[in-house]
Amino acid sequence: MSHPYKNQPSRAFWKSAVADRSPFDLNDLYERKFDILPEDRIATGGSCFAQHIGKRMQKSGFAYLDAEPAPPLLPQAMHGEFGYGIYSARYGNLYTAAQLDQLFDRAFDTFAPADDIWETRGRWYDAFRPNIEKDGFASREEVVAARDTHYAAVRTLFTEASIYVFTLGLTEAWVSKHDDAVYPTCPGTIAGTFDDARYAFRNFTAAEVVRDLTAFVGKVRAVNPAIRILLTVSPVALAATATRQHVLPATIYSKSVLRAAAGELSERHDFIDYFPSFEIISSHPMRAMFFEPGMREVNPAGVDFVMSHFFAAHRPPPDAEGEGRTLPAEADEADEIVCEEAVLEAWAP
Amino acid sequence: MRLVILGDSHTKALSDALAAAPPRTDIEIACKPVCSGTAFRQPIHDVAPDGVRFLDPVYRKRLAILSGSQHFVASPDMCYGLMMGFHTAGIYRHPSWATYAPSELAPKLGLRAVSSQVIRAIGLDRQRNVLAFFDALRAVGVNFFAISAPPPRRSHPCLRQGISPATLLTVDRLARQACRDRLQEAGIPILSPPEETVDPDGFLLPSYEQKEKGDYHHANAAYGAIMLRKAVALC
Repeated sequence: MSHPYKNQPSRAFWKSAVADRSPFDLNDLYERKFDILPEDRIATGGSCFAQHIGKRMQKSGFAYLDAEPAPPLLPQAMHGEFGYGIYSARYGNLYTAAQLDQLFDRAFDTFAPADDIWETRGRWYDAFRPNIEKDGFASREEVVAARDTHYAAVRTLFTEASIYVFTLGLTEAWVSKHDDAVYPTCPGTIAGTFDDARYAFRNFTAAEVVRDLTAFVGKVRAVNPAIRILLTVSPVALAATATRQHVLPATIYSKSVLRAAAGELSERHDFIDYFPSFEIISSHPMRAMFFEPGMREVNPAGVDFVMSHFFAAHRPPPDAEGEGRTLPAEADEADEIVCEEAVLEAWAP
Repeated sequence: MRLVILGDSHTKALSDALAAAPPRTDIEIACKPVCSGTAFRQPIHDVAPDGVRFLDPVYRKRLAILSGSQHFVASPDMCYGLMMGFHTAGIYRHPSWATYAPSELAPKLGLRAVSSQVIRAIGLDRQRNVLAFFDALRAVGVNFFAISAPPPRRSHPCLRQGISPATLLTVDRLARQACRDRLQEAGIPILSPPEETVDPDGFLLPSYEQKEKGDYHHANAAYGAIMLRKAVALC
C-alpha cells in the first residue's frame, strides 16, 4: 500500500531524526534554498542574535559587506561601543519587520518621521538607533550629520548586497501615534521621554509581520533585483513584555508569530530562505543547554552550534578572506623619523 | 627648587630655548626630550619600590641625567613639566580624513561624519599610556604639570593630500580637549599653547615653526622660550 510518507527521508520522522539521536547529532536541520558564492556580498541586520551571525560571517571568509565601516583610527576594541562593525551598517538592533521596512523608507527618503531626535540630559539621540553612541551626540546637528552618513550607507547596503541576512527578534514595539514610526526601544528607557499621548504600544500579528516583510522585500528588490534574503528568528527571549501576559507566553507568542511569518515568506519566494537558528537553540530536544543560566541569552557553544549547521550547508570559501577590519598601516613614518631625529639631536654630545 | 622639563620631541623647542637664553629665575631648570611621541603607544612606566620610573632603560638614564634620579621624585622641591599627552599629529594627518570628517563639517565637505565622541575616544586611546603614567605620578604624590604640544601647522603636507584645514583643526581640538578634560578632572595643571603663537584659525603662526626640512609639526626655540617662561611661572 502506498502513501505520501512512504518515500519521505529519515529526517522527516521524529524517531529516526530526533528521538534516537543525540542533540549534537541532528543532521539536515537546514537545506539551503540557494548557494552563497564567494563573490556574493553578504549583509546582516536584525535583533540581538544577529550580532553573533554578523560576527561569524565576517570571520567566515565570505565576502561580508560593511557599508558603514568605523573610522580607521578608532581602535577595533571600541567599534562595538560606537555601533560600528556589529551589523553591515550602523543601524543598531532592528527588532521588528516594521523597523526594517521603515529603515528602508527613511534611507530612501520616502518616510520622514516627525519625532526622530530625542534630547536627554543635554545629549542628543537618534530615536531610531539610540544605542549607537552610548552617551548620545553633542548636538542635534551631530545626530543629523551621523544620520545622513548612515542613510547613505544603508542605501549602498541595500543596493549592493547579494544576500541580506535578517534576524527577526520581536513583535512588540513602541510606535508614534502621529505617523506610526516604529522605535527600537520604548521612549524614556535609553533616551527620550515617555508620553502616553504620543506613543502607543503595538504587538504585531503574523499578518502584519508578513505585510511589513513583503513591503520591504518589494522595495529592496526594486533597487536590487538580484538580492536574496535569508531570514532567521532570534532565540533570545523578551527581556520584558508590555502586554498583560507573563513574559514566557509573551515570548512564545512573539517567536511563534515571527517563525510563522518567516516560514510563509520563505515558502512564497524562491529568493527568500529560512535558516532555523531559533529551532536549533530553543527547541526542546536541545534541553535548553545552549542558554545562559538566565535562560534568555544564548551561550557561545550555542552560537558555535548554530553556525556549524549554517556553514555545513553554506561552506565558506577555503582561501578567501572576508572584508576584514584590519587597520590600515598608519601613515606616520615620515613624521616619526623627524621626531626621533629631534630627540637624538637633543642628546647629541 | 628644581624644574625638570621632559617629554616627547616637542620638548626640543624648550630645550633649545633654554640652551640659547635661560630664563632669569632662581629655579634650577633642566630640559630635554626623552623619547618620540611614538614611544607612548606602548606602556612607558612602572612603579618600582623607589617610585615611578620609565620602563625603557634609555629613557630612565635620560631622566637620571636631567634630574639626578632614575625615578620621579615626590618632593616639594622638585617639579616636573611633562610635555606629552597632547601630540595629535598622528591623528589629524591620517589619510582617512580625506574620506571622513568631524560631524560639524561632514555635510559641507560631503564626507562621512565622525562624531565628536568618537574623535575624543580616538584621542584618549592614543594617549592612554601617558594618562596612565600621569595617574601613577599623581598617586605617589609627584609634583608635576602637563605641557601641551604646539598647535598644528598650516604647512603640514596632509593639507595638500585631501584633508581640509577645518578638519585638521577640529580633529586636533577635539582630541586635545578629551585629554585636557581628563587631566582637569584629575586636578593636573596644564600649560597650553600661548595665544600669541596661534593665528586666528588656530594654526601655529609661521614665525614659531621649526623650519627644518621635513619637519611639519614642531615649534621652534622662539615658541619654546615663551613656553619656558610660562613653565617657570607655573612651577
